[in-house]
Amino acid sequence: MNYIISITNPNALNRLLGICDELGLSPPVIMYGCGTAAKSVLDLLGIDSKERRVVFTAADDAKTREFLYEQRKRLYLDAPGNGVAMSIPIKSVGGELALSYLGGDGELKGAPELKPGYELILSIINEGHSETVLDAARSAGARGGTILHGRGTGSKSAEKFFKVTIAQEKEVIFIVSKSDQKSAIMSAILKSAGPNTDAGAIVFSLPVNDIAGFGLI
Amino acid sequence: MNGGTQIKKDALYKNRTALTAKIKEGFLSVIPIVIIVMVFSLTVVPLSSDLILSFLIGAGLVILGMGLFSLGAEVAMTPIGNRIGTFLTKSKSIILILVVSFGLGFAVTLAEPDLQVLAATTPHIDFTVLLLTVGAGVGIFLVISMLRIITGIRLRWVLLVFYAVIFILAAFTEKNFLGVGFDSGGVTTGPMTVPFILALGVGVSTIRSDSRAESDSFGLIALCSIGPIIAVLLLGMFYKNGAVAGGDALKSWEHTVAIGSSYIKAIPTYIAETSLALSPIAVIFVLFQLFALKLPKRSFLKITLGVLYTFVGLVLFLTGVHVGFASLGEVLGKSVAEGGKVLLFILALLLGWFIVAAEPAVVVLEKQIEDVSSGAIPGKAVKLSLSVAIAAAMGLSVLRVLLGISILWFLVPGYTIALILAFFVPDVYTAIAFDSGGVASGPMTATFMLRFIIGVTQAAGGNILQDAFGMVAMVAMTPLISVQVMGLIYGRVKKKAKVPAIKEPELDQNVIELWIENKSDIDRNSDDERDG
Repeated sequence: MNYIISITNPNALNRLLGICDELGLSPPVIMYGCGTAAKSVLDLLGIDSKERRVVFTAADDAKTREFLYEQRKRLYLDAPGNGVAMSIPIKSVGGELALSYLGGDGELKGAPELKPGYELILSIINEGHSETVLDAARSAGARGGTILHGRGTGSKSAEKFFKVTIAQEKEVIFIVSKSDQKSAIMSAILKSAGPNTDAGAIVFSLPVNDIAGFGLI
Repeated sequence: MNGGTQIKKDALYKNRTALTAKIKEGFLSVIPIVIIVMVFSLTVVPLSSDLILSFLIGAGLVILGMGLFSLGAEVAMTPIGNRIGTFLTKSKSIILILVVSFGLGFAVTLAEPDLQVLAATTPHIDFTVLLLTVGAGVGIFLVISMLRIITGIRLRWVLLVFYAVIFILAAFTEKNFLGVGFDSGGVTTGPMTVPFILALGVGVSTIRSDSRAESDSFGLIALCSIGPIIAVLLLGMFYKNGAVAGGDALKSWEHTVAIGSSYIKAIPTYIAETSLALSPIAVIFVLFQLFALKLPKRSFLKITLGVLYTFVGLVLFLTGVHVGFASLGEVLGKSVAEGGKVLLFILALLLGWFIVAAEPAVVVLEKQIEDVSSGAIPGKAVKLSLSVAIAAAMGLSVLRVLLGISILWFLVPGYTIALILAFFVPDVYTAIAFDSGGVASGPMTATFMLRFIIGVTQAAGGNILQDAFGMVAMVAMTPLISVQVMGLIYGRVKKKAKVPAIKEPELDQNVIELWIENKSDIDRNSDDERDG
């Protein structure tokens, strides 16, 4: 079984959800993110749309292949700028009910085959420093990334201001990279945005067992 | 499906930038109005062709203006508001929060072009007095909404108390001030104030991790619309000046050059108006940038360019609406009212249904709602309920003009229903509903639709001050009900969609391994694994 992360343009979201529906996948979780185009004039002028939707869902191996194939075909993932989809093996599931909800059969298998050559780099950083991270990543050969906004809870409990609880703002950056570039990208990020800097980046990479999308190849 | 054409289409698709998307959005929201007006004017309502030509030029400007404006709102106004809001929460200084909120509310409102138009079209109240009163009203209520968020008092109670105050005041105030008072509530929250205050609210709540953060993102506009109403009603009790407003002289053009020159003459007026409207926000942003935010150069440059888009967009939009739409609105209202009541109602309902999409602030609200709720509350549903609301508001306004009865007959039951609903609907929908009341009544309503109703009033021989004014108030009231009803329906659906309850939850706490490192171990271990 796999956890599938699909990154897509807002106007292709409905097509993507349609595919999930047709394949009978577990109801996806959708998050609002933004992509990072290259530092172009279009971007500075603000007329380069960067909104992305990040869709999380789970599927068994056969459906994962089908899902990525359909996305490739119908969302034109092979053309640049149309998004990317990747699957990450799930190791275990809590509870029979959750298992059937996610569409797994519960059969114990051997270690899944990983797709050689690609990895997903995750950076968790303090809000407002995504440019630093992406600049570093680009300098080491990354094509771009997708940013999700979130809130973090530090080691100390959240601050209170009257009845309002204030959390730290965090950003999570997804960068898909070739395995041979991974180390360079990760150390570039650490160099300019590592734990000792304001960005405070925590960087790690996940294995990927299937992937579709042009932007990374 | 033809693969080849699909891929070609897709290549085109990719090249589509945000700007063309925005202009297309503007086009789609304005075109229904154009079609309705064209169909009516070509078939049943005789209008002179110079008016129609000028209307079409206006529509073009409105489309361009809306596109640029909403792009600007997205790259500049929203980030500015967000950042200032976040900064205020982070500062955790009550005094700073209160002082800055009052200053923001006051300055932004004073500069609001809609309010200046309202102040100018109500000659029975002194221009400066009205402006200052309403500005202070908004400032005080922005402070109140911040205090409400900090202290965690539910929005519904605050709304209940202040609307009670409003209706007590309304019972004592002079008749001529009623319509204007309620209108000013809707009007002050115009295209400049709305994106900024909306973003401020989201910014204040964005770094919170408590459960009320989402619903507290909205509701600022709701309270800010109360301030002006109370201010003007109070003014009505102390300020006596009996002049009565008349309709503006109708515009008509002898030839095409005259139309062109009236557009060109209008542009400097709106450049001045828009610069004034933008200046407080721009100044505040620069101050924040210098002393607190300290954004990198590139981000600062990007926001500055966004402010420029907002500026150009708003100038085009206002010019188009005031020259092209306003004069047509009045004539359209007049001649359709002479054409028969059924026709009048049909046109009023149709215009109401489609006009709300052409309000620039509505687009911004929709986007904020989708962003904050990550799409869980679809912007389209909000827009649909707004369409229902504004169509109803137009129908009721026409009815009121024909019957000539007091606006309180509509507002008191309307607000009563809205406030009762607030106790049955999830907080976030109440906040969005009361926000959209202020959002829906923007420049399109204040010029085109108000003029339409003024035209109807003139044809029906009513009192403009008492019958026509108050129409904006109606537009500001009906969304409170329709959006909350939508919330009620959505709440129901959400409950139904819950995962079926587990009969024996304690039996379902096993962790199921899906794979293990060494496949040859499977056979040996499988029995143990299953039992565990």
